[in-house]
Amino acid sequence: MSARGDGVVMDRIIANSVSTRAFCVMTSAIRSRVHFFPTAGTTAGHYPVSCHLTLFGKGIERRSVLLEGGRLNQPDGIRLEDAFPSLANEGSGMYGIEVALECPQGRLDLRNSRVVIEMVSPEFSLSYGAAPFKVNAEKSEEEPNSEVSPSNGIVSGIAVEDESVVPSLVIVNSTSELIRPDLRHILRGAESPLHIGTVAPESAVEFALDESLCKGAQSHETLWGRAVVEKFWGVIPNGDSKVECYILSRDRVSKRPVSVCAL
Amino acid sequence: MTDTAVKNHFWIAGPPLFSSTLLISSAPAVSSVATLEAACELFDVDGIKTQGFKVEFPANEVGIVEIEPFMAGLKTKGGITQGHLVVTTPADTRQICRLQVGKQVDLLSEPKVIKNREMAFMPLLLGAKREHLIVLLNTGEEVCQVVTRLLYGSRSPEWTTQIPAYGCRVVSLEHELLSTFDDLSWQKGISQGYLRISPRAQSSIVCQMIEKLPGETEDNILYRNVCAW
Repeated sequence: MSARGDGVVMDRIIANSVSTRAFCVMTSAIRSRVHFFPTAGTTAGHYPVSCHLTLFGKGIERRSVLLEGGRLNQPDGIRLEDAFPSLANEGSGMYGIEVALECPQGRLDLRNSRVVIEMVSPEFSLSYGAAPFKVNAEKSEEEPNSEVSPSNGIVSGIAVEDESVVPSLVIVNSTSELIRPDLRHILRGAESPLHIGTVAPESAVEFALDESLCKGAQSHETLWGRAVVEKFWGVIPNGDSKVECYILSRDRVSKRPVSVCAL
Repeated sequence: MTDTAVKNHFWIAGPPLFSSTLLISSAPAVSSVATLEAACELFDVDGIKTQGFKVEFPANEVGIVEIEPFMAGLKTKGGITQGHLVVTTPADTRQICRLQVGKQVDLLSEPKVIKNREMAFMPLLLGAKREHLIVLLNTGEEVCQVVTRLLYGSRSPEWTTQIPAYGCRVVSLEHELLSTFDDLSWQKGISQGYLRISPRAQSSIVCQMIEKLPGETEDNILYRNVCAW
């Protein structure tokens, strides 16, 4: 909310409704859990907080569930197959998850809340922190000049390929529009477009970077072996609020996910 | 460096179990300059500065700073040679830490500083055969009290850890904290729990957690970075 008078500027962002997006992998062997922690800076009260969980992706119908009973400063979590029981019968793949938190206390700023996604299989388990929460757009219409998104659709990342891991870029698009990322990297000393393709509406898409970004790049001798370390940057059109990007590292041999880094 | 410089605090650890490497990249606007400079300060577990160094690299490349050669003055505590690395780079640069724990490799984004009674949370699975190492790093100039609360079932024991200015601590949840608690129910089976970590008063911290899972032999012990804020 913003109150602007003659010569007086007073800003206050309504941030009691926030959301973030992440991804999970669901197969017959891999199960995913979502952990969330609604918090509001130093506010110590246990105000009620609702958690809206939405799952979307290729081959499945977008679906949501409202988790009631949450409280500020009380961490909680749920297995995705418990949140969406029908999911077990609908194949497997990489899916996008949107976590939206809302508190009726209008003065609370929930942007410090956090989400951890956990993927578990008999062979491995992996946890990663989702991208920071952003204020939901519909709540910030009164504040057109406020910085509701720290990235504002601009993305920059570092990809590492070595003897054990290969990198990929995961783009989680919860909008209803096709996304054409405009990414760039340094190729033979000059700025060059990084061609990765498009991201369908309401989907989470993984783009391998070993061919498009790392192949042909200079490798470095490091203490952990030879490695290609490349940077990329660019703009995600319409990606100011409902698109998130992650670097996913997979084991070179088994292809299992080993690390996820939010951009 | 200007006021808009990027400054981050990383926990770093060295061989034999750990390997830490800093990766730095600049945004296109910064790439208009030929070289990029990163100023690094390294503090030991007690917050004593052991190294101050600067590295320069071509701005259109990713800077790779292997920390091991700079770790000579760091102390070993709890079997881990470790320290607190403060990195300052120009505005619009990214700093990522490649942390290898055993065979597990993680790329860690810029750590979030938790300050003034804000709270971090970490999910974990409690069980007799698991161990969780809580990494706490004091980013401030004063001694810091960190409150760690474990929530599992209907229980929520709480402990306070003191960390010197710019120092760091690795605390074993099971061996150092839960061993002082009279309840042993967490050792039966595996149960979901959450850690809530908060600095007292005007302090500021960075925290992360490493899980240790037993193997059939010492070589097969599995480590993984569960969470880093």
